[in-house]
Amino acid sequence: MTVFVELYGRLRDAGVESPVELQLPDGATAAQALAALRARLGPKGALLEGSALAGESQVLAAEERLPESGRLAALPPVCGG
Amino acid sequence: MTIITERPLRVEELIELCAAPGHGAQAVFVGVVRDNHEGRKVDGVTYDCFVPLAERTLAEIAEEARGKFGAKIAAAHRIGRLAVGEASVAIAAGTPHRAEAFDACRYVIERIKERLPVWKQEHYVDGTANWLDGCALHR
Repeated sequence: MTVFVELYGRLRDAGVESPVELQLPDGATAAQALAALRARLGPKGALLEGSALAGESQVLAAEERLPESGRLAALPPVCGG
Repeated sequence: MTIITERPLRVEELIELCAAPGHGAQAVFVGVVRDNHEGRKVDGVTYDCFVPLAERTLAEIAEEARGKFGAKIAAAHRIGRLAVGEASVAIAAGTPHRAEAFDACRYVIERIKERLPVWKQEHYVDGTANWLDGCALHR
């Protein structure tokens, strides 16, 4: 499956264009997507420390399968307000 | 009513939206961009946001405050680049009595800082910028 992961916050400084296209096994989990994203970021992969993957309606648990539709985003630690 | 917006926040509208005939109290919290952070002079702040999840999360937080405190909540978070002194977040809570209104405002701003998918990039007067640390999201 092909997914596109949007980058936010400090991940915008990772030196890659957002969204990032990833090729994953069918039924891939959030953890697999984050691992693939970390590999893609190479030496900037440490920026993903503490990040979560989310769909449009919720943050995904690590073992949760990626939603079949909608946007995906990698979310570093948040600091709104 | 909750909203994520690129437009300047209008606190008066939020106060009107949280009004009800049975309310004897309205409390308002407004967060603004300050001109310093840890000894550095700040020129402005960019608020980045994953909008679809932020809209849903802010609505959930407001609903939680309604359930916990019996409060009618109106809240708005601004995104984009803001100058010093501009409001980044505004929360209005209407309740029958004052204690719950204060508590509801406090609850909403604390949950925003913990859960809303928003990120601050500070811009300093020396021309540099920095993404601020925050709270990791989990589920």
